[in-house]
Amino acid sequence: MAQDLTGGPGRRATPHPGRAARSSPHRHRSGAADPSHGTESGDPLTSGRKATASGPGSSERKMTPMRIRTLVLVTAATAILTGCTGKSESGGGDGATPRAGGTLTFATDTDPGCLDPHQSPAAAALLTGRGVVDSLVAQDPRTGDVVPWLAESWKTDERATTYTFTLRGDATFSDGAPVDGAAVKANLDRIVAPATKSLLAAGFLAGYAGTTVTADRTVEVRFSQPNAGFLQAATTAFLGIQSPGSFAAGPAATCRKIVGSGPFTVSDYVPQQRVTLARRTGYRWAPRTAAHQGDAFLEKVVLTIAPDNGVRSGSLRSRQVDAAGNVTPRDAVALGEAGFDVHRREQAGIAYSLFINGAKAPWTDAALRQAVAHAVDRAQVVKTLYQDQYARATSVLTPTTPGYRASETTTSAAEAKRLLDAAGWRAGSDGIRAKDGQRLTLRWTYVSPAREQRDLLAQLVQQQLRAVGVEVLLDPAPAGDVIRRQTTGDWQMGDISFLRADADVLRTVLQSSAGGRPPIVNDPTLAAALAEGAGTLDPEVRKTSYAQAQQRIAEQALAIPVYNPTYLLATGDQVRAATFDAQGLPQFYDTWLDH
Amino acid sequence: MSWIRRGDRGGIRSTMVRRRLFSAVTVLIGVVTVAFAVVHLIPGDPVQTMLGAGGAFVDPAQEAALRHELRLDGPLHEQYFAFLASAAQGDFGTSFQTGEPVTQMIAEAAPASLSLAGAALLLGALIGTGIAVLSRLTNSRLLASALAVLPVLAMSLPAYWVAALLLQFFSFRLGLVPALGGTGIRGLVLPALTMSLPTAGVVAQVLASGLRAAERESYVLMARAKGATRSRVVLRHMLRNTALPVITLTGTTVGSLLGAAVVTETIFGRPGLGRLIISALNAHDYPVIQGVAAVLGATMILISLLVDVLFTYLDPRVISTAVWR
Repeated sequence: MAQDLTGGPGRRATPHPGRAARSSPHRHRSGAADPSHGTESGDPLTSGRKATASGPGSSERKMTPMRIRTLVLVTAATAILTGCTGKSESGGGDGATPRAGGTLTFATDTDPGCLDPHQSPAAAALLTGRGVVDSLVAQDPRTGDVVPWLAESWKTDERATTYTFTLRGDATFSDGAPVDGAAVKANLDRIVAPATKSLLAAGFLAGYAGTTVTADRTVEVRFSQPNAGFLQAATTAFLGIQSPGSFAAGPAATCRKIVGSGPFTVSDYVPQQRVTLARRTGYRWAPRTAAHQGDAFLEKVVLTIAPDNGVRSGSLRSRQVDAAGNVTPRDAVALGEAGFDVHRREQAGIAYSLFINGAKAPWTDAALRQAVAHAVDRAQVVKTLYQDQYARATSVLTPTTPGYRASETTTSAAEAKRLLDAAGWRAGSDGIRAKDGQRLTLRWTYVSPAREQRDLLAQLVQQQLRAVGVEVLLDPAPAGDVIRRQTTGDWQMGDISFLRADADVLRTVLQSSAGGRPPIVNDPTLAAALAEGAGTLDPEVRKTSYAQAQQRIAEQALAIPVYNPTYLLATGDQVRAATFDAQGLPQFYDTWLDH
Repeated sequence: MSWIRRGDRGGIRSTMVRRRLFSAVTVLIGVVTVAFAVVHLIPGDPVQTMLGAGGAFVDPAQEAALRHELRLDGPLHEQYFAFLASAAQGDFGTSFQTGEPVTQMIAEAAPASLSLAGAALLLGALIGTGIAVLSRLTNSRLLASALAVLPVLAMSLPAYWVAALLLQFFSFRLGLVPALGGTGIRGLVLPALTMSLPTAGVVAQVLASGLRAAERESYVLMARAKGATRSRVVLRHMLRNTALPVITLTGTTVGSLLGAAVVTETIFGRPGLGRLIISALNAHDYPVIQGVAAVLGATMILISLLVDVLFTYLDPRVISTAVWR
């Protein structure tokens, strides 16, 4: 259910049925949907509701690279429509004009720790930082297209080693400094500087050879090796352009306060408690993916940090906050029933998937891995653990990731047993299969404490695999330990999900043997396909190579996708245009309050 | 007692404090050493964890640069002595996560924790004393047995459950207090109440048994013989004489209070040392973990010292034994 929530006022792009923005099956307010003060209509909710959805994975998806087309998003409606009580939305509510003003209180689960996305790898830093810093380019949450933002145009060479950006020139930072070529250079140079201690952003600049300011408004970014992923990475706040004037105070100072050219400024940050964003006046350079131009509607956004799930949903229920982020599937169902709006957005990137270390016998045999893939009943997992609020994965990439292509393995215990029988593994007295005196076991090392009930998921999968005669030994370990084992290759079964709106994520997470780490997935055919995709910006080549890669992963059971991690946002009915950015996180620029 | 002159008493007290402070330094060095050892025993490497948390885009040069930047590339004993030397000057280094000085982070988080712990202690002492006194004064058997069960309940209820219950009722249903981000007294009530319960339980139990035992004391008989009312006997005479063990115990519950703070601060979304150390642990932020551990250790030492000094005022007999130490 590729939920896309970009419906809003004056959106330029044509609305399509997939934009099932409001997904609460029990929404009480009727006819008062997202604001649309522009000419384009299409209440995303209504259109979403009316959409006849095809089942995930059932439809032929037409795609161009960097773009997810309508059909994929149509699947969005499926899970949403399931359980719809039939309360129809009458009228589009298109007449609602966004109103400026008011404070949005938003309960979020994680303290960013450091607000600076150049330094911090946390999604929490993106949530707070996106409204404060603009990027060179923007990514359309609906299509995955890269569009102009601070840069009005750009060009690259064939090998994706040189990027030339022409800046729009009229943008300024909130401290008054202009967003010029020198500022862009200062930002990129700063990200790779060791003193910045960048934990993620620097990784996007792999092979960075420098930036040259060729004219006041033109910069040339050079890489010593092809870096096709850079353009998409440049759309994220991780590579957002901050005011160079703020760098002088050192990285610790920007952890507390970032200064950008965005529609909001950081007015207050109390660690572990709240981040307050204040509207900046005179903002005139929103990307065209935004629903409106000009200043933000909200005067203030107060992000209150509430790590406890029950407290976030309880605070929303008792109207102490306007919105609660990252609510659990169970809370989402309950809040939906209580009349709150629940918005879903599948995160782009690698779906939550299981990985079996193919370098270790007997799991070098693809047939054994395929047997496991057939035995894992994903539909049962999402139904039992996630109340169908998350969709079952249909590929190693989630449908919101540009380059996604459905490549599902059917769930069939019979097929799993057949494969295991054929490979010579026979069930012993306790039901566990063995061959030559060796039991068929998998030691599953996963991070504890687990999020999204992944510990329970492990137990469920353990039962499912036991039913076909595979023994799973659960091995919960602290995050540091899990990472250490991955780094040394000392693991047999693991799980990963990864947020990034670019198919190149497959290479960087599963393949890259940087740091001397053995790749999570070691397969020359896959490596070739991924290298081809990473070495070019040609949409057709990328499309083909990533389709091949996903096909290969499914065929060889190099990954066993389980579910699509989904951001669940619940809001009171006064909150309008609660939409998501391409990374799948709530944005605040277009949001407004209807009191 | 009377054979120690007033001036001597002050001298003995300051000698005692001096001796205790000296041993406190040794204990503190032990505490920071253990903290240093423990953080290095946590499975996983901080550099790999920090970079791995963000993704697998780690290139060896980046990893080495970060390791150097965090001063984690030297031998362990060098790291230890460097740490000890700067810790002695009150410098615990800078956070791996934010680059801020650890002392500054602690100074920011500590007031919230202190006010919470202080309020919880006060509330716990009040509730506990109330329960104990009431159980002595009441004539109702039913109430007396209920009051006997209450402390056990208060001590055994897990903080997260109490917090959820209090929030559900007082905040979500009645809307009396904010659930999140409450500053000032209103925001302090529920978290302080959550944390006060174990203290209240301990105080109530110890005080109640003390009061029960005091019934047979001669001074109680004397007071009664002089015609004092029951409440006057309990409040004026018995309470003061049975308060001593309670003070010691209250001091020792500070440690468990800090443990409960981790849960309470998380649920109520309050800043504080508990939250600080949890996020530091998750991120392998060595300097912060060490700094907070050292500060907590120092706090415990200070509190036990305070309790001892307080004793010398409440019970002059302590001074007399101190002479022979």
